[in-house]
Amino acid sequence: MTWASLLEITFWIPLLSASIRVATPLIFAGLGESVCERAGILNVGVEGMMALGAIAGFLAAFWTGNPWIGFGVAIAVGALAGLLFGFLTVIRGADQIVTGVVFNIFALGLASFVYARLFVSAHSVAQLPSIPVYRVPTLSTLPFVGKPFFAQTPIVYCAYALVPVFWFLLERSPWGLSARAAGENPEAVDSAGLDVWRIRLQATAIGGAMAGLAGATLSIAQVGAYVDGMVAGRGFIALAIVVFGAWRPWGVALAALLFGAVDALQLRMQIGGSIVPGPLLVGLPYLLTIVVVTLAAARAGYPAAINKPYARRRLSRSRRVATANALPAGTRS
Amino acid sequence: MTAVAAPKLAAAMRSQAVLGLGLVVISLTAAGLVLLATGVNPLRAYVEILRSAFGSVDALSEDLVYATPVILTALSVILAFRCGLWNIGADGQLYLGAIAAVGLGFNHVDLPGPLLLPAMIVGAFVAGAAWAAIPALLRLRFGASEVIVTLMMNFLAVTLATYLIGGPWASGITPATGPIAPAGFLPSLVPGTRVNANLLVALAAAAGLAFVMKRTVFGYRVRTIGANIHAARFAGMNVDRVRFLSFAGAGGLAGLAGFGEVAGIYHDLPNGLSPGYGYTGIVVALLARLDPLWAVVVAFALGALNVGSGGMQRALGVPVSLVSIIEALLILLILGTRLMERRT
Amino acid sequence: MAFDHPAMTIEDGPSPWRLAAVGITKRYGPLTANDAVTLDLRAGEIHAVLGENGAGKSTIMKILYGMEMPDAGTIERDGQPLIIRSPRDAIAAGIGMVHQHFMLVPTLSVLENLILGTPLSGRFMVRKRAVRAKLAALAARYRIDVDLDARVDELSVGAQQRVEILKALVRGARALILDEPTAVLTPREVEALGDTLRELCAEGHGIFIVTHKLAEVMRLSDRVSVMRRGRLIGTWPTAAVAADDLVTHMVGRSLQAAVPRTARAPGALMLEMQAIHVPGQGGRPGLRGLDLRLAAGEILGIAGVDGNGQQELADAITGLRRVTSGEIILDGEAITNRPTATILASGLAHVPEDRHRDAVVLDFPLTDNAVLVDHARRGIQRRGLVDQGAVTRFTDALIAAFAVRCSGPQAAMRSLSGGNQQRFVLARELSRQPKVMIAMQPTRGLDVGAISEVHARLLEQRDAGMAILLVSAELDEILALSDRVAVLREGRIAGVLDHPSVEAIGALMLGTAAEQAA
Repeated sequence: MTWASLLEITFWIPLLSASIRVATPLIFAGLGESVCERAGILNVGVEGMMALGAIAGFLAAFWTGNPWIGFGVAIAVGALAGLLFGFLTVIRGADQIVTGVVFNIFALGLASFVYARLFVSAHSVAQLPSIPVYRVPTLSTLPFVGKPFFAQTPIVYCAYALVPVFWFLLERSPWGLSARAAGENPEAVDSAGLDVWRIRLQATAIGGAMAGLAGATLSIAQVGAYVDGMVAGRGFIALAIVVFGAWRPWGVALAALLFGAVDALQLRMQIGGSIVPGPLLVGLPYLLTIVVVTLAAARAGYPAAINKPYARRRLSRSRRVATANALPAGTRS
Repeated sequence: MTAVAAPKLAAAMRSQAVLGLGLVVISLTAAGLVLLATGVNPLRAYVEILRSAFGSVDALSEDLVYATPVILTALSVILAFRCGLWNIGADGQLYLGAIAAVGLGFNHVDLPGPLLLPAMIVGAFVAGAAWAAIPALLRLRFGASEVIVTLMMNFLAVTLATYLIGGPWASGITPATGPIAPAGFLPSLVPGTRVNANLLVALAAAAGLAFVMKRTVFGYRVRTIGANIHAARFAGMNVDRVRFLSFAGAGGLAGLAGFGEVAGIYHDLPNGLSPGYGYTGIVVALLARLDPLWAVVVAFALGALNVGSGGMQRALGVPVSLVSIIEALLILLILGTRLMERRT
Repeated sequence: MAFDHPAMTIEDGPSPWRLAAVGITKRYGPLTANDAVTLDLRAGEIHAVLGENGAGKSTIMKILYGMEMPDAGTIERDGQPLIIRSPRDAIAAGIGMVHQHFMLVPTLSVLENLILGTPLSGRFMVRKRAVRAKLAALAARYRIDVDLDARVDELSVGAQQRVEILKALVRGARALILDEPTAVLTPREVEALGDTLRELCAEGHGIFIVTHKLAEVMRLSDRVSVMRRGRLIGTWPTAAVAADDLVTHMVGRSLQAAVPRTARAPGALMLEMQAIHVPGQGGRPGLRGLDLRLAAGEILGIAGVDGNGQQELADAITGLRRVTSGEIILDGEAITNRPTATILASGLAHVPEDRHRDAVVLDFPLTDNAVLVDHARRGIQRRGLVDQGAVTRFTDALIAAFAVRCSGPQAAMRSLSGGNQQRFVLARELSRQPKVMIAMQPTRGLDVGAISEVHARLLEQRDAGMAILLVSAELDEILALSDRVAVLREGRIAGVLDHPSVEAIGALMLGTAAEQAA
């Protein structure tokens, strides 16, 4: 890599393409985690959920030969993992960080175990066919941005689409309003007659599902195989992205792109050679995460009730009894 | 605010020990189901684990070899946790300790023989402490989440080690750095095994930490801050200072683990020095309910589990990662049943 | 038909209804918070429920609102049993509650708070424009003045309360419960609240006001019930009962005219604050040029509506919050912005407002709590080691000196009653033989017996020459104990009174600024 090459478009276009590819799983995981955190749940287990999504998605895609079934299974497995995490933290009131950290050990162990048991011992190399790139008509022919943005695999377009969807979910839908309120003042939500636990469980399920999708993106769409340790801290980087993106879907997407760009640049520099030794460049995204988390911390915008279990005595039968007693004038559903 | 069924549950299982044992059985059963699903007889697997873990002097010694760094990383997690901070970074601090020990022992510093080992110990402690001081500062000064920062610093530590191994300190032969001077070798405790003197360091550290926590003014401050940081502040304690010192001390303890691996086992810095000792330390700390002395016991138990499952892998082809599943499952169950209520 | 949705059917006009809690019993462990309490509320009335802290008023209201489940008793509407197991059920039954600590989401707008969890928030999408008109109309009808687009955390406390009332109305509340609604209001805001409530009654709503302030009861309510120690003492039409009698019912005996006390003999100046500035946070004023002088042998009462700088005042003296300008002098020594430990060591004792959070470690035994401040002093500590024997002896001495009821020095702080915890805290702080003591709300949440004991201890220390700064939201407490009263308003001392009367203090609390506010 020479400095002169920085001026050439042939340097920037592949770099931008790579940035977007790298950012895609971060966008998925970050969107899901931002929903969790807005609802008051800090899910440190994203890393593990991504690993589960990666292995489950890979297995399903490998056995069925259909990558899309793989993504679906990964989403389902992620959602289940999210529900388990939610059960422990929301219903049982377990410490969210303890649970997340231990969940990672569990999930990374399980993913590695399943893969090793099924493939390594069988001495077979399991590689998925790569997903073909779909060029969006006309858009992909735009100058400069066309190729990086619109000549990608469909899963990348999924990420584009999900950003506004999550924006709508969080900022415009009634559910998002309740979720945001549950993350700021769960007592107020409870006293407004909403079910805090239910909202938070839904949030952890969404967070898990998105982490699963993110993991499957790594294994199915990017590597075409499952490799132990392939998540490589991306789940934790997603946590940082959420903070840096100020818990807003568009911010999360931009932060993910920034990380994607740094990672892509790092890879390029390794190939091209630079003043910093290649092996050290690998650490660049991690270093960036630390910087970003520190900068964002000064801004202090965490949802107020994050990492605090909400614990009014739960009355599971309330809804049934309530309907039995509903007043004639009751307009509530 | 116990859950609805809690009183009944508590009555049925008055003794926590019974419940704890029950959970161990449940997690073994659950892991057994995983084994069955992948076509292995779980009983055979477990027998194999027991045999490989306890069946010979060699096996027992390997349990201790595994337990040694884990005791230290567990103590590291405990010390930080006791003042309300998360040290997920013991793994990275261990690497820094190892790097410092190798750096001193790899003929980079001209030290007379008898001074080399003490220098390596101090160097490893200081390096681990300095590595931990970064997330501590970022947390206490700027409020940056120490969970995320310590995790990232683990990756950075591995990156640094990989760079040293492949570059400046490369041996040129093995995927490791060149060897340290023999004066930097820790003596073996049991001839013919890999059990080395760092076990004594770990045991002393456990006893020392238990003493500090229970008997000293510093330990009292740490406990108070962990139990109620507001009251500590109102009582005039310099909360940030105590937390910083604890966290740095935690890093130092993990650094000692790295020293032991270098001086007692490998005599160089190999690729993949730590198979996640820092994370196992978290498991041990939680299972030991943040008690330094119990951490020794739990570390040995998990050492046996790991060594045993290594044997199981060789005999039955069952991957070692089964152990992580069992350990983590056990803690998740404990969290779910609220057996481990907050105790600080 | 009762409890219609007012937003839809108000044109029908008020229709009579009656809500009743019958024979409610609620126990928390050994404590009986409600003992067969029966209360009722009718359309168009304001029913005040009067009682001291811990009398069980809040408990029965939480039961009515579904936040607690009674152990016995029923809730009825027009004689029909009503099963209320959650706030959701209560809302569906037309019951609304304005909590003492507002249940608003500070980061959301007023409008978002109002529609949260209601059908107005829409099925798929929040349509702010469409609901705004409805909400504005509802607010206008009850003459409740709120800015729908303001963020809640930017609103004054009075405005937040209006949002809470509107929130209950949006949810179709016909029976409204207001828990200590005036605790955080200026006298002027209290007036405005009274107007709103009367407006509501005229529209056929019924209102429970839970309070321990007698004056409000007499002014606002149609009927009054008195609770004491979990029991209902009685219910009377307000017009037919004398204030003195209510006090007797509330306390269980007639109040002594005043706590017996010797004449004031103030000594040397012990604490001086000069033009202290502390930046405010979260909409609070902080301190803005506060001056204060406190002498040995006197109790200086700090009166004022909560949130006018009380916390900042205590934090500034104790070094817990940075003072941006001004000087604090403790017994001739400048302590401005010194470390808390240094300030405490130079002769300051501190009884914080939030006992559980700031004064004790609930999970620790009494021994560890006894040395919280003085764990490093000689005799307790030697060469960095804590002398456990000395700590236990010291704890025993504290327990004996203040007759703290506990199972021994190893008892967990959590196992003590609130009164005994406070006794222990007082014992600890006084054992340090301070020159100056800051007592923040020292009797909050205590029962009557514990309150009078705390009062006696404070007077005893004053007579022994200690300088005491008493910060309290209870005017009665301020009046009973203080030699002088300083009124804190918007971060300044609005005035210092030597022979205070309620009226004079009230006037200062109100100030001129409040004239423009309402």
